[in-house]
Amino acid sequence: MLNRLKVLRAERDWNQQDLADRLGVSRQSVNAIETGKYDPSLPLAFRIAELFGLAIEEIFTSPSKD
Amino acid sequence: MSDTVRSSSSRAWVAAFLIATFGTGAMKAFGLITGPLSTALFLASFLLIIPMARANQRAMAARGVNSPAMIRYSRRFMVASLAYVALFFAAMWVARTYEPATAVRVVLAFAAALPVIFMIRAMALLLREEKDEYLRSRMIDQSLIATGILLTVATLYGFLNAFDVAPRIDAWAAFPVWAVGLGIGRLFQGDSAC
Repeated sequence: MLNRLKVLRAERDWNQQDLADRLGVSRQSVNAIETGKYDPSLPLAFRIAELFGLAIEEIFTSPSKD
Repeated sequence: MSDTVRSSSSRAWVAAFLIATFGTGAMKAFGLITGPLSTALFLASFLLIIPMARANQRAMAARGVNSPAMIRYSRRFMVASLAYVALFFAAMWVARTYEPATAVRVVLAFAAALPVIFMIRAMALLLREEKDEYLRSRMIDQSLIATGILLTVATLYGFLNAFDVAPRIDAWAAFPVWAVGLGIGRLFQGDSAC
């Protein structure tokens, strides 16, 4: 799933490990989500959205709109 | 220390372990070393499991995948591996030295199998305790690939046995075949997450 995670992370000057620590997941998870290899569960997607203070659809692009 | 150096260190310990165990095993088999010393050397080589497991943990931490569940799993698996070596060789020694009665042989078989059952339990606990959903999904995929490989190999080999074209293999081989399947599953997944 396409997403703006890398951009949002870069805006805050966080590396993947910083974001992983804030989300309580592994760095590999952040990498897999950023590169679209893994779609996060709804609870994790909400955690990501809440961390950035955005709505889920402002971070993740709906697959039907790819 | 960089990720690459940690991975190299981990691989070096794996190589050292394999060389030590197979090396002393082969030397014993070919009579190059004999007596209690050869047995002691062979068994001592399995102690390399400890630094090997620790180096692997450091490499995993460097890759950012060393979760608390994975640390607990590594510890459980290491203890079970050492217990397996001790119990397996002790059971074999008792069986060969004393040729015990059937009931005792049953107990010996259970003693040898018990650590392997603990390894399987460690894997089950890892799946249950891992909080990282991505790592858990990878493990589940690996387990499914391993199960598919084991069932395929067992079915094929079973029919080769049925048609008397392959030697019989003991059923305990199922676990090592499944473990090899896990490794193949990792290769299919492409990256080195876990």
